[in-house]
Amino acid sequence: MDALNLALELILMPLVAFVVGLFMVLMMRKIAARIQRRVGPPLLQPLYDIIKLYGKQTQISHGLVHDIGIVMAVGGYVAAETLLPVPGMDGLADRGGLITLAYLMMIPSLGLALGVGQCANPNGSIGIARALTAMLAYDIPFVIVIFGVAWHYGTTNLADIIALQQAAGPGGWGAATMPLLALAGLFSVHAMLGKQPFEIYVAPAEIATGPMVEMGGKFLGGLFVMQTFQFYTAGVLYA
Amino acid sequence: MTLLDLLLLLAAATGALAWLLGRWSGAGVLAALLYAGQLALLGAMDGNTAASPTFRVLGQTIAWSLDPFGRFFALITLGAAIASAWFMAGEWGRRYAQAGHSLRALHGTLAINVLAMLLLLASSDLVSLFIGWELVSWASFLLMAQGGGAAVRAALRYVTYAMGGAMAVLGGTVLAYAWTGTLDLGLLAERLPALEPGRLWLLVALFTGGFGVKMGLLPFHLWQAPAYAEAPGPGTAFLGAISSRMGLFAIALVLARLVTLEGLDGLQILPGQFGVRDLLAWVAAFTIVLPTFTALKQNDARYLLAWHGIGQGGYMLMGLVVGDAMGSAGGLMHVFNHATYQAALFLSVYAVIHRTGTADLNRLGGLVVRMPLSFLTMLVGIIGLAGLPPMNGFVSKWLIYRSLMAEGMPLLFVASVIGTLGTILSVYKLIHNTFLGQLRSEHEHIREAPWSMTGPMLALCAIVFVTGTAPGLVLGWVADAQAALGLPVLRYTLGGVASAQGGLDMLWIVGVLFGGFGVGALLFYGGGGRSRRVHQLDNYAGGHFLSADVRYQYSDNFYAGLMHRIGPLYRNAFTWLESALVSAVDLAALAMQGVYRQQAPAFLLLMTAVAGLAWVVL
Repeated sequence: MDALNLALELILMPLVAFVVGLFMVLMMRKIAARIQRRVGPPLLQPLYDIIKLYGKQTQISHGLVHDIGIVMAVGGYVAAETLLPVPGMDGLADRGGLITLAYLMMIPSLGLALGVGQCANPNGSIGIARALTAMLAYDIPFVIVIFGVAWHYGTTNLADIIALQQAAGPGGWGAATMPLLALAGLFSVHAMLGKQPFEIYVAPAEIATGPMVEMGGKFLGGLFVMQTFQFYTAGVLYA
Repeated sequence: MTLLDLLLLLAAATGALAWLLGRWSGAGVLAALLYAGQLALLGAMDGNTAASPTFRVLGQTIAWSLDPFGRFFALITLGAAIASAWFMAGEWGRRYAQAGHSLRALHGTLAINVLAMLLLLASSDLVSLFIGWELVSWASFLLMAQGGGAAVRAALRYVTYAMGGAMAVLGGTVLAYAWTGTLDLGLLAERLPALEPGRLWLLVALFTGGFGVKMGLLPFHLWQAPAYAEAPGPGTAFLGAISSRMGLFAIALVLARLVTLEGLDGLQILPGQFGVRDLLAWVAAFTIVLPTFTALKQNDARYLLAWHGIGQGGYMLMGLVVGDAMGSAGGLMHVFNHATYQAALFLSVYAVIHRTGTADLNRLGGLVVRMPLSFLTMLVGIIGLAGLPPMNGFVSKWLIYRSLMAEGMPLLFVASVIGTLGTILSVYKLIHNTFLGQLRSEHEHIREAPWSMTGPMLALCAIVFVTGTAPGLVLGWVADAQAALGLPVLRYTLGGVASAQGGLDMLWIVGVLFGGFGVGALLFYGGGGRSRRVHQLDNYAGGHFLSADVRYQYSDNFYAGLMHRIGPLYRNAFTWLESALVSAVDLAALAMQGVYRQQAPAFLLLMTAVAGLAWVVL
């Protein structure tokens, strides 16, 4: 793999993640809508939302750390995508494996927590306190799953794990050989995304959306971008 | 005159000069320069350096020599001393002296601590180890007791524990001599593994328990948090950074070099299932989890950090006990990493205390706008303490996790991760309550800490970041230390570890991380309109208008939901154990008093006669 190829992969992987993530957000909203007997938003709605938020005239900032928090939230995921191999692109998977990826995924949360901290709103701080407590809860099954996967395949290199599963066929997939772990992983990844019923950290009626209370405009737009990455990363990692 | 002689002489000279010149305004700078000189001497050493003075006792030679393992710890000791001396060189030291404390005593005891630690690290037989151990305990006591009042009480508690530990170590030394006939570490390494398991068990228990007291291993950890937290500023940074790791040095020396890990494998509780190594790994696991969650409840920033210091020691022991190349490298590297970010964190807390007068987390807030450099230091420190990339804490924790995965120890792995998660929660509370949130009106005009204080803080941050990006710099010393201990040596690269089962290259990871941040910054600052900075009172309050006299900060009982769930689990069990032990000793003392203060000695004579008769007859 020469330098040009690698550079191309490093640029493409986050881009692919963003686009696929947009579709995953759309899918979530469409399915929720259909269950509620609505039509749901059009195809490009998540993109329109992000553009709208960026285009707002009023952008409130509570300080540099507030800005840096959003930068870290988006940037951390952009970096994490390069460690997540997809068909055709391995990126940096061999230079940091499962453990590194799991920890890199904590950096956006930390950035968000710092940004919310400087917003100086107790609703936001309570939201972060709850988000961190929830993280304590879902990360424990998550690391058990990671341990199980790494122990089973004897490696933390994601590219190797993918290769081993592909070589073994559907009977050798992780979900088939370790069904209980797969189930646990499903729950913990769901909690990681913070969607119902794990959305205690948002609690819109109680603490005014928690961390997002003082986030508007491009700040919220940045969080939307982070959400697309989150969905993508969680989905691909689980797969 | 070998390099080690020069080093020890210079350390002694530093101690003397610190005492004599302590009140002079340039004393801190002089002390820092002298420690740097010691560091230079250390850097010039190679292989095993012996000291000239030796003497013979009972046919045994007592000597001192410094091997790469000792040099690794000495490097950390001197680095911590430089940072501490630099910190108190300027305004902090002046304010300390003006408050009526003795700056010369602080400088002097710091230098004496360094000398004592160097003597301990250079021991080459059990007697010099014990001498060094006692000196280190005494020197630590001096440093802890500087604060007066609560500090003295905490220091006396420490000394009680330390004396108990030292007696255990002395007992172990005597037994080792009695059973092997030698005190030299090299000869002991040959003869100890050949001892029968029962005797080896006793030795391991005595040494690990005795040295574990200093390290703060459960259940001997209760003294550490108050003693470290109440010590004066840079003293706490020094103690927290390296002092308790002297215990780890000694334990590693005994377990890895003397008994050897293979020898430990011969000591089984449930043969094949659970041996002494598993026991030690579980002690380490509990040392990780329980103090971390105790730290979560603390409201004083110094106590919070001190409790974390206890917990991180568990990681070091766990890495060492698991014993493969990655694990022991992780454990040893964690000593270095922890020293850097713990010192940085303590110094930033003391900078905040210097400006605001309090470390109470419920009386601070929003200081990021007034003290940005202290915030940056604390941020780098907490990322390191939590073990997140790109700081060095991540690399050592990665090594430990990988070794636990490779050895197939899921429960220990989960315990380590629980410790990390608890740390993340706790340090976020620390930085949020101190630097984020609403700024109090009484703190609106405070300034950043002076350069004499922010200098060492930023230098430590730079070290944390650089050794995180290029861990190979530290792994070189770690590999030498592993070789000196007889442990399997890690194959490392500048960026980390290259391994067929998934390696780590921090250069790439940090590079791509900052690339990601660049992209994020481009999207944020390049896209959308300009953001408008608003005052902290311009905030959502459900329709109310905020005013500066009403506190709008969430800080007390920060993890209310979590505490509601796990609150009942905090049973102060170890405190109860300690007070039970104290009561038992009190009772025994009372009984002894009763015996010695008989009004009618004839009664005692009668009792003794009856007891003797019973023994003879029965």
